[in-house]
Amino acid sequence: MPETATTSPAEAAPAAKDRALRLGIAGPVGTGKSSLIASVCRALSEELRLGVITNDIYTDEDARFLRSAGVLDPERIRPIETGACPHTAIRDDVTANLMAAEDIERDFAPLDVVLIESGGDNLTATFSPALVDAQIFVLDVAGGGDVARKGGPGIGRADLLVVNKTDLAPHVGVDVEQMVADATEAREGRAVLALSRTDEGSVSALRQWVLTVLAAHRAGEHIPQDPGPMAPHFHADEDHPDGGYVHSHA
Amino acid sequence: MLQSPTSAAGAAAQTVGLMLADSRLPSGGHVSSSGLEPALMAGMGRDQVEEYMLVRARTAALTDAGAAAVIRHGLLEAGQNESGQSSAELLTRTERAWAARTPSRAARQIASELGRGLLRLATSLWPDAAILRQLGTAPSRPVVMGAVAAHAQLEAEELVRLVVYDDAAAAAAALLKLDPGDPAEAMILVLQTCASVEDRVAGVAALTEPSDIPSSAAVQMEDWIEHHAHTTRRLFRA
Ligand SMILES: Nc1nc2c(ncn2[C@@H]2O[C@H](COP(=O)(O)OP(=O)(O)OP(=O)(O)O)[C@@H](O)[C@H]2O)c(=O)[nH]1
Ligand SMILES: [Mg+2]
Repeated sequence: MPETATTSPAEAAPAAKDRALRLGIAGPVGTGKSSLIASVCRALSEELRLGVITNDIYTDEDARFLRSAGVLDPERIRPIETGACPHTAIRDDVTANLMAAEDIERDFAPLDVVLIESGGDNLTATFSPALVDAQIFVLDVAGGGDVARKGGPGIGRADLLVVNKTDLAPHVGVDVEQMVADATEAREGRAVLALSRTDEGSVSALRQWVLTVLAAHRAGEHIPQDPGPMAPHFHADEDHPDGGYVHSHA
Repeated sequence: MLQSPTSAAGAAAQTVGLMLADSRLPSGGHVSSSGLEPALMAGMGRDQVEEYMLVRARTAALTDAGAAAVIRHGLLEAGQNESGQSSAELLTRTERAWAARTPSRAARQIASELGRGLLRLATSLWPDAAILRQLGTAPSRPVVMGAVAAHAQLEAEELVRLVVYDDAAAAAAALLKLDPGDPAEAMILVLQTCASVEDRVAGVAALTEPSDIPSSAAVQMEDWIEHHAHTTRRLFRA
């Protein structure tokens, strides 16, 4: 029964740069993904048209949290239930998420950014580039200072690594600067941001990062990258003579 | 990153059938347990899973298979007569007949979401398939299965077995997640379930009229699915 009106999938999809930037937020359970989305909404909802999709294993808890945060029109926050396979829904079978992204982009056209929260699964879950244009991987200081150094696909190669809840660092005995330095090294220089929702400067750096990626996306200069399913490894590569070329087998 | 492949044309009908039956098919199907999780959460015993699957096969699964067969037949006929009008009418009548035999709104909702996911995949595989473009916005999964079968020239009996198998296999896979036991036992359940409706395959495959779609409904099962839609802590949508 067609209970929801939808566009025919046969209709050609717009070029990526002409639709909203789809920004994935991944990371272990409880590191602050929903809170980060709330911060982005708070910082940008005046100037950008935003939508949010949450992935939850059991319920629509994340969506409810964000709706109750009052940072965005509740209609613009949509839950997806991933069932037993939260990993699958953002990586190998992104069908439900893609349909939700297309729906929300159509219902509130035009949108600038759609934020997609992964169903907090584990350290290795990352988004498929077929679903998101860019992704943020969120760790928190409470997980310990070593996590960033240990690496993993999201930590190593998400477009941005956030070290969250820096306000808690003194309480958990973590040296934030060291953690950021370790992460930067593990990421071979890719962006790392120390964030706390109580530190305005860090939130505005996050805001600026989103705007920069959005500008690159619109200019057609941003190419979605797959952080990969596993730890990076090196191949001698003729196209990259100055050293190995980090890649992962998709 | 691989080069974008350009065409899925030329696949043998049997190959398409195998692909549709593959639980790894990326069309969003992994959220369904064919009603098994709703049943177990409602208190149905582990020892009743076998019976559950047998009942499910001759009720919901045959209803789905019948709808798929009617769609397949109708779309192939319409293709021969170039009668776009009548195929639109057939689609509507079949959707309605199927919905009338699927009383749970939650069950219809999930079938429509799964149908949309499958249609999305199918239209990407066969962008030029006129048959698929007639389906409208969110057809239910059996309707899409029927249309894909028509497009891929899958035989009606193969289609009926496919729908029954797909439903049983989803339940078995869910069983292994929800209450894991010997995996071979789960596969025995699948084969046994399919075999139990084998004598109905030819009859259902021959259906051409929406009103003839099998209408045995397992009301308790539908009620469990309806109830399940309002619970939390579930691993499957239905
Ligand atoms: N101290 C502090 N706590 C934070 C911060 N950001 C989030 N939290 C808290 O961390 C807990 C988890 O935050 P969420 O935003 O729900 O985390 P999440 O990653 O979305 O969680 P899941 O979706 O369950 O995986 C909550 O209690 C938040 O209040 C922060 O910057 N500082
Ligand atoms: Mg969350």
